Amino acid sequence: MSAIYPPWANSLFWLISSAVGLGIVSIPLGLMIYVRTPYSNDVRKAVEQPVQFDHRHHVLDDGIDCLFCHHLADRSDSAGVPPTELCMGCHGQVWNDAPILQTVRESFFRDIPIPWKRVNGVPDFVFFSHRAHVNRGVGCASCHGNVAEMAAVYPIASLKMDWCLDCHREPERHLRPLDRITDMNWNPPPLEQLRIGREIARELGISPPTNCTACHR
Amino acid sequence: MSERVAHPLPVIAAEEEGLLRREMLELVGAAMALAACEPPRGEILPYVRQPRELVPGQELSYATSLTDRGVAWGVLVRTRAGRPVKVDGNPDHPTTLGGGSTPQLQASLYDLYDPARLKGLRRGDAEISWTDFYRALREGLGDGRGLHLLLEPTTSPLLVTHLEQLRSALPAARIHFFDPLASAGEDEALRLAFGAPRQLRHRLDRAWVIAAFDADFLTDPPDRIRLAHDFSLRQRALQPDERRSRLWVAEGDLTVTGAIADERARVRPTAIPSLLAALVGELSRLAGEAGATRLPATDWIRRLARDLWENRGASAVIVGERQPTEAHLCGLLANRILGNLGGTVEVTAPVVFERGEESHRLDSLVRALERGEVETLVILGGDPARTTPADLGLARLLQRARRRVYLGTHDNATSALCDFVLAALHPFEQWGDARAHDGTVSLIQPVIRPLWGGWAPVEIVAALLGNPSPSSEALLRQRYVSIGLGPWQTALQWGFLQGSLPHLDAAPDEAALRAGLERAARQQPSSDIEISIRPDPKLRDGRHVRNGWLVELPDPITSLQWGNAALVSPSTARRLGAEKGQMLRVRVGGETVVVPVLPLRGMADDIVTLHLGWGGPGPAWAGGRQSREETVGVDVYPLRRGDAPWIVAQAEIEPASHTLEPIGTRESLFETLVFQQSEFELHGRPILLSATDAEFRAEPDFAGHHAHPAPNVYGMPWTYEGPQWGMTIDLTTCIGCAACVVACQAENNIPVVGKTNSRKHRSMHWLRIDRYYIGEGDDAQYLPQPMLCQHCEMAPCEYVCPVNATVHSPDGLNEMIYNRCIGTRFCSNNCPYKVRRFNYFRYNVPQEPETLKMMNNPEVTVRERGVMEKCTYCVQRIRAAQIEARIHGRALRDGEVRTACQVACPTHAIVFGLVSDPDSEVSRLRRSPRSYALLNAELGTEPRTRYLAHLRNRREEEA
Repeated sequence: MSAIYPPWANSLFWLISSAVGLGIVSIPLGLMIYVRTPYSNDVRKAVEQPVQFDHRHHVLDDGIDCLFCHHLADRSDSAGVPPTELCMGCHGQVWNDAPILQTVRESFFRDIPIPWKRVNGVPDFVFFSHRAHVNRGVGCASCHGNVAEMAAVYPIASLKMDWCLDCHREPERHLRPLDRITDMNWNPPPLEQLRIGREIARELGISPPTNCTACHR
Repeated sequence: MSERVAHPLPVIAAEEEGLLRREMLELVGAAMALAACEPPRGEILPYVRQPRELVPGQELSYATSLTDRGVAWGVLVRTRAGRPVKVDGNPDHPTTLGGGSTPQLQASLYDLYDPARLKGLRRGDAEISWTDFYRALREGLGDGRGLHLLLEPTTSPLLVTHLEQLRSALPAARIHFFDPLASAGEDEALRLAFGAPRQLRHRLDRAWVIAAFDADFLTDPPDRIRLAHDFSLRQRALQPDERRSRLWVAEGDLTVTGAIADERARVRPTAIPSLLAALVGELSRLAGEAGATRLPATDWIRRLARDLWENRGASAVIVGERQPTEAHLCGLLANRILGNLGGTVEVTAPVVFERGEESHRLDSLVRALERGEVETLVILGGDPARTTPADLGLARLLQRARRRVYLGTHDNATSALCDFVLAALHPFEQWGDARAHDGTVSLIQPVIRPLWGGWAPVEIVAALLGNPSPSSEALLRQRYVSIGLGPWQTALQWGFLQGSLPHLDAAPDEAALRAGLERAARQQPSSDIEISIRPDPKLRDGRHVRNGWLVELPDPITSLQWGNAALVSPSTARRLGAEKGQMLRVRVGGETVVVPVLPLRGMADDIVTLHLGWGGPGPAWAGGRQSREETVGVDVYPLRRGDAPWIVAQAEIEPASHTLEPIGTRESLFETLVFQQSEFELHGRPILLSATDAEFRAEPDFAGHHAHPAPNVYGMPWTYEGPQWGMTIDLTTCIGCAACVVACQAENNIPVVGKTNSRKHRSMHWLRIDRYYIGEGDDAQYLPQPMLCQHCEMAPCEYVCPVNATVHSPDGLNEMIYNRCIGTRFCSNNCPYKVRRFNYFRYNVPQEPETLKMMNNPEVTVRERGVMEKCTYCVQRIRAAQIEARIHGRALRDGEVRTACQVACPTHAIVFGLVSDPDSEVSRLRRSPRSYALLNAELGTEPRTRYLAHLRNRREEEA
């Protein structure tokens, strides 16, 4: 009577078993790692805009403050993109015939808004207020990154709930003086940051809510 | 197929559409494939030129006005990015003093965004341009011969100026007014008594005793918000020793006012005049006046007369508008004897233009139509073809006019008969003015650009006067050109110009009053079953029948949704041999109406109450898709006669039965009525607590204020820090008008689910008004109890949720997290108050047209299918106020956060605030011995919402 299985069947059995075992562990693990990498979301992916607006030029070369254009950030829940009118305040005078600004001029003279692409967005069931943060010691760069150095703006964080909660639970790791809110280079050493953060939290009475309806209404 | 998958999720709301299973699976598969792709990145569209006053992302309120039968209501419209999202009463305006609302005021937002509104301008079926219309309109006008205008009653100084100009420019033109809810009795009585047209203004804030005869003054008059506000001022009492006013009501129908009356008599409407005559007789006797008629008075009348007499000068006798002239003369006489004129009852010039005069009667228009003298008939608003008395036959006569022009909001019976049909602008889309009930001139300013174009009535009148491109803005500014720019801006900010009509201090003509008394004393109530026709509490004359919020709103008395019924007392139902839901055939003249019966305890015997305004196509969209209801409710307009528009004594009434309709099935003989509430008796359960004032004095703690809570599964109480929120609802001042229900719907994006789903008790109202009978037989009150999430500290819903989608917040709210909810509905099962609502279908998305999306409040999540939802205490308002306070580094102030229902309440029965602050209004109310926590002694839920037990101010007399 010959054997039912040839000798290499043992090797095959072990090979398949270990592949299945590895798969059971590694596929979920791989997926879990994947969703935590920038590949699964748009983090650090630059967004192409209808107008080639360069923050580097406006902030670094011209020294324009964030709040000059995004002037709603400390007054409104949404920081907003400036109206075309504001662009034309300068660009009616300077570079007023530059081909790169053709879309801006068209928007202004034909009264059609420029369709900017959203870079940082939260789902519809999340209610985020810019003015609640900007007026309470959270700097622009804490969430948006160093926009001054971005050729085209990209998100620096996933904006997922755990990311929000990290800061709401330990705000002192991110708080900064109110006169440094728009500072793109605020980066004190960790211990110094903790000391300053605690001081500001005490001074402004900051204890961020972590309950659900703080953001979900 | 490709069309169906345009949206990434399939339309499972297709329950009744009979979607095949296979087709469904295909859709699911396609949807999953689509859902795997990334959604396109959203766009940000900033303004090109940002308006100076606007901060994008923040709300902006404007003061403007709405009108009810011509009379202005001051409103504040909250807008977001140029679109109105919420309407509330203007707290400074005399008609809406205190900022209260009615359901109609709240629902005006739905009227604005209603996708079924008329659009543009058409002749027959063809769209035409304004220029073509203007030429056709002006063609052969001459001196106006053959030109007739039919308008709704107006108080607008702007429109009145134009009508007067029209009369002088086209002297042969005729102007008519028609209001289906008007009746001649009161105008005629006032004209007889004072020799000139007059109107009454009731000042209930000065009255300790109010007697209403067939008068539902909390639902019917245009100034009902003010009346409810003033009435409530003397109703509230926190401690036993505080004095409260007393409300006496004699009525046949069970109305909102009658249901809460302290002393109520069930009297048929035709018996009211003789009852008033008896009252006047008693009062004359008490006053020792000569000529006191000796009339048989019931015990009820004798007690009422003594109560009124003891409070003379601080009492008011109110007679319902539909009562005949002699009843109103008796009412005036009673008020004169009591010295109330000039105090609680003021007499002023009428605010409605030519009210009570010839132009408000239709006779001359009907005659002119009959003779074929009408060249051009211009109908500005209303639906006269349907709402005029059936025996006038206006619908038939209209066709004798050579040219018929109609300006209206919807396609209806009138528009179908007109050649030229123009879309009317909503008040939120136009400029204009109107006067408040006290004569204050209120301004109307647009809060949104016209959605589909349209015209204001004054623009059509201006076109008749030869203005080829009339604009209400220019016309209005011209009318008030004497007011400088600065004061004009201020007036627009406030919404009105200061200055009201004074009380005219003239004694009424005694002889006329006595003659009325004689006539009233001779009146005998009919012996037959009589028909009592009333305006619908929600739809009024029918102008709101396309409004989803109002059609789905449970009737404040019957709890009926999506329809009306013939209301009868249980004994009359037995006499008629009709059961609940059985169809009743009502025949008046040659007209028959078939309407389902609803027996209602508290109705007078031998009357059948029918509500106007139903019938015809209802809301165009419901439950997230196009509505398939062809008609909602039953139209009872055909039963109205010119001589008996309200009370019909000769009517044949019989229940539909198989003997009459041999081929009829049970389905056609019965109709399933749709109710929100199904049980109206308390069965001895301590849900709605009530006591008389005397019992309250004897035992202040009757509500069990200090009752010990039952043990609960949590074991130990929460420890709280920071601000704590709570609400009190005063059942004594609540009148059950349901304004809060619609306000909640508007604020919190609550969908309309449609008739089929309402029948399955799936309507989504976060706040509902329950009604319970307190007492037996004639003596029963039928009291409202607003019911909403009680925000229990020991919430039974929280510990059954498997996914922590409903949790407790540090400030004491019971939070509902939609994005966590998986829809097990355990929480709803475990809620003893039954206030949780489940989204069975995609009621909110996606078929809903664009304009209904614009209506949504951007501060509140639009919930998806399969998610539980409930009252959040308007958490979006709390969080916004907290952010505001934190930015300015201050503590929250009492009264800074007001929930939508609280703002809408005309009687301020709902108070919300910080229970952690002992000086806050809500804390003060919670300390009242009347305050009780619902079912806390039984279940230990520790609710944050507290009720203040109801008090009934009975007249206690030593025999």
